[in-house]
Amino acid sequence: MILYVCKVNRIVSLAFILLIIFLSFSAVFLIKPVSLQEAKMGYSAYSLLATGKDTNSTYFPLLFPTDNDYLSTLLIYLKTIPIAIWGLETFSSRLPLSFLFIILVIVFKKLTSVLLRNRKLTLLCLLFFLLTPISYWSIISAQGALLSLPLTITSFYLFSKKFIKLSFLMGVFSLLADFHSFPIVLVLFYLNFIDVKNRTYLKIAFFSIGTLVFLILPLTNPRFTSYLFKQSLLNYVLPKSYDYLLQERMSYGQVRKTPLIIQGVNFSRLAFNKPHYTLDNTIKFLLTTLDLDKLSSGLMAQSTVSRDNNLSDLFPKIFLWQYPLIIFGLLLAISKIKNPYRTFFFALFLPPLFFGDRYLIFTLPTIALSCALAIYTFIKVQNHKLMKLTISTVFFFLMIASTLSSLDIFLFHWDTWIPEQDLRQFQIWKTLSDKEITTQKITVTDRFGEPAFYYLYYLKVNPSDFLETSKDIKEISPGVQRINSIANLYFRSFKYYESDRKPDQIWIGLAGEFSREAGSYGQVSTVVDGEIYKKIGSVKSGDKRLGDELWFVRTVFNKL
Amino acid sequence: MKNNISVLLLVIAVLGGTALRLIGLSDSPPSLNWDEAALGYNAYSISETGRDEYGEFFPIFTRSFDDYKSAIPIYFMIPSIRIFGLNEFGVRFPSVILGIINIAIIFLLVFKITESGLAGLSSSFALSIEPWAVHYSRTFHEATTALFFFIVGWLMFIYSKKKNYLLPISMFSFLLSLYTYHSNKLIVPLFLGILFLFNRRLILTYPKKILASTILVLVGLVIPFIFFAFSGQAFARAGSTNIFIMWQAETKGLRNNHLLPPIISHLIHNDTYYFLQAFFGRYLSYFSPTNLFLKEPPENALAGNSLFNSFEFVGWLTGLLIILKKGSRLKELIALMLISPIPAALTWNWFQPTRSLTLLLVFSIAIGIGLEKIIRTVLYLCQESRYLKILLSGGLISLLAFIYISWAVYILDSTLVYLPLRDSGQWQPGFRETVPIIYQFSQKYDQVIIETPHAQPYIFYLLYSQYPPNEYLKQLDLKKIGNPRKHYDFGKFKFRKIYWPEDRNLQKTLFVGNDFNLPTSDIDSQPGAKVVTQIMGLDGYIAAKVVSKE
Repeated sequence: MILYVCKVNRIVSLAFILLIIFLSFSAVFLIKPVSLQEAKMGYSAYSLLATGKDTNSTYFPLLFPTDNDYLSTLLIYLKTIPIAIWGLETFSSRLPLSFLFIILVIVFKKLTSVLLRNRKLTLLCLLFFLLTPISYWSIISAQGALLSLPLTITSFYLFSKKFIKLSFLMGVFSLLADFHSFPIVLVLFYLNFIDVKNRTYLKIAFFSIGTLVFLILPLTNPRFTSYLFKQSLLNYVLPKSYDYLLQERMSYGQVRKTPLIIQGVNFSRLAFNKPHYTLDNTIKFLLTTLDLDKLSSGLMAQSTVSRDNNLSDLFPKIFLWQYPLIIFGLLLAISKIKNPYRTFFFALFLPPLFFGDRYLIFTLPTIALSCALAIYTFIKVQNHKLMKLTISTVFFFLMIASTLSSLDIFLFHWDTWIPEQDLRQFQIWKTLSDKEITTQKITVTDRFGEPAFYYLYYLKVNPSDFLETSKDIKEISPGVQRINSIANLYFRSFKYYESDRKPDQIWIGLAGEFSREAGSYGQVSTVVDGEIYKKIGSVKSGDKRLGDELWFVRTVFNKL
Repeated sequence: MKNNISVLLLVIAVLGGTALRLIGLSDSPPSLNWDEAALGYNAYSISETGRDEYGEFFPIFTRSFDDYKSAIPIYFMIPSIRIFGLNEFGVRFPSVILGIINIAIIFLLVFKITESGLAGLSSSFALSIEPWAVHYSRTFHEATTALFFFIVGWLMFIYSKKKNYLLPISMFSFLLSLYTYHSNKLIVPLFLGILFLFNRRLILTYPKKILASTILVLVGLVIPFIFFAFSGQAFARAGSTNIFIMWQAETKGLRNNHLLPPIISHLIHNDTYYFLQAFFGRYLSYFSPTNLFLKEPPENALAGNSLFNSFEFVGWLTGLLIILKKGSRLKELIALMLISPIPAALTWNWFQPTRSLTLLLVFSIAIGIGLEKIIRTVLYLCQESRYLKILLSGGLISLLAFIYISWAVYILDSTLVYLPLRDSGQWQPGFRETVPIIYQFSQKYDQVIIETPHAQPYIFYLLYSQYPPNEYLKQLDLKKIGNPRKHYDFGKFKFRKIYWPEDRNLQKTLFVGNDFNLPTSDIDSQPGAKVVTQIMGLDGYIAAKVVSKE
């Protein structure tokens, strides 16, 4: 019997190991397009290796500032290792994330075993952790957060084991890996702070000074607080985010002669005032991440979810049937999980709540724990064996069907969910040949993000050349820079028919940028002084007038 | 809470709600939509002739745009049209009245369910300023009438537990709701089944006479409904809106574009699994906080507003937790919450709140229950100290008063200013301004040729010209108009594309079009043709160009 149990355990362990390896590495090799952030990080690592400088010409920097944000310093340096071995490839740039995912799984497993002390429940937890789509989606989307989360969990684990200094250190590393873990680290430090029993004064002093230096003092720096605010959804609560709207709505009332203005007294001020808008926006900001359609049915509910933006990906991150389990599980967690574990697991919801759904990876441990708790309790309370068997079977059927379908879409149908700009930039730079890029003047529309970094990344432009070549860089708003041109490449939206055209140029843009025949671009095969040599269809431009096709046009002048 | 104060507060909620629903009713929404126009003209026709636009004598379902609308809302509209005339006010007034009555009914309903006057009042106050409730009251929609019958039925059912004779009235009201709107054809039978299931022991103790009359009402109304269902009228709309029309396309797309063998791709992208996903995804969207409190609904939105006010989220969440906690006491409410999105989830639209107004009402109840809990918690916290009690309760009352007034004014501004400004294009603009003028001019001409981008324009011409129903019915040729309807011409009015190079040869004709199909330069050069008038729309653009050809 003991031998049999051991054998089963080995098979289960082996299955889990295989699953972890598959999930960690499959996305790295199969999903080709990269995000703008990935392109920037990958190219920064490449540049560091080649020149010792980042794209801003700083020698081995500690911070990598980008548009109103910072790239993860630790992750960029981690990426240099595989890039040094295999060169600047998508898989080499992503390889550290695979290993980070494996580390994350290990630390999560460790934490849940300590917390739950129940092998079945721990395995169930691990299964949910691995198969909830957020996990494999995060390998390519979470970037710095995927490094920060294991550090955060380790920090908490060490705290629970009373290794205060190490816990503190891990918390600081977690912050360095990704600033967006700030709310959790704050909670962690708070937990450390209140847990003063059996502490020496030295420890308390160390902890207090550390907290002051790493958390409180940075907050006194207006630039850092402003950065955190700009990054966070709290930004929407500040008056400047609604001032314009407020004034606009007031002005409509005056133009349209609202009955709310009576004898010179404007009663609409009762609605258009700062307390109203602050309260309204505060609640709305809390709700932004709770878009259940986007979280679980992004691909099916596209008409509802992505009416106004093509920047976010629509990959479903939670299975529909997980929602009742999450709610039930969270309610169970409130009563069954003891503090400080409970506080920690609930604090993991803070980063996505404050910084948006890009940081959903932080919630994965809590989602996995709540689902496992719910299903385990649900099966346990059943009296009849048949009932237990039925529930288990239904659950496993759902899990397998959902996972297979989700993984297939994730790995083999990435064109259905990848953000539009990443997909189109991938197509653009894979279509152009090296010869065309080096010899011809090329204008690429900037209606799909910032083409410059995708160009540098996909074409593996020599960093020394990039640093030395002529570039046109403009600061379009404080902290936000745009590269408008690099050598003979220009990145801007255009009206082809009004532009100065020369022979042998290449223009890449939406159909509406070339032709005025709105609505019938599909039938157009020629443009003034040029030939359309490639068309990419089903493009989501966000502007109907520009059509849904991406055109590659080479200028051709008739010799008269 | 003392009765007098409760009554006073309820009166305030009703008055507040009345103001939001009634002020500027003729001008916002800026014109009638298709359904309002169809219901309005049919009400006018029935009140004048006893027949609808297709000549049916006092119909139960009217064919309208081949969607077989229930005629019950039409009968509701007749008195209002007789008093206020065939115009926006006359058409929408019954809906306003029902919306106002709902504010009072929800108080009684919540009071009965929770035995808390404060919860009832909270629900009434919430409902009086909720964007969905205000907007659906200001437009005439069958769903609003159906909702009214539904809650009256439910309230009567609750009261019937003490006054048994109300049971047949409750059933009658429920069944009227079933007749009135498509979604309720599924919700009502399900909910009646649930009510019976939960109250079977009690119902069976009712006097036999009452049970017999209830059964009589049920049979008397259900049998005709079954007849209408078989004749295709009762479920006509379901044919064009059901989920089965489109959900398979997604799986096909994924399967066809696959590296793996077809059998495996069929297994991975399994139709049954995808159907369940499509259904439950839609179902869940009705519970998504962003859809309820953050985003504007895809259709029938009050410009700049989501379905509920953002501040209500706190009450909603608290209310739902309390409802779940008190599961056994509020099981009817929970059951209604769970079944309400089913009809909407079975249609192809992802999120269409019009089809789940019952759920929105349940949420208003939940908000009331949640707000009551919050208010009581605050009061409980300060019961130790008298000064704290005065301070906190004063602060709470001030905060609630600020929220109510501020949001009410916001809704009023959205209704009167923002909606006509931003969304006038969605309300078939131009007909109200153009039709009466064109109708006047038409007397001098043999025919009027109209080109408009709007579908079924004939109904707006009938309504805004107050075309005599007798005359319309005399000209009615059911064979000619076809089934489904393809032909919309009546009297002198012909609806088709204008092709000026050919049409300019017609005599004694009035053309109604725009700058593109009636080019001014060509008209000036054509003898006998002239621009009679150009009618400006609310948005400042030309709504119609009227050209005469003698």
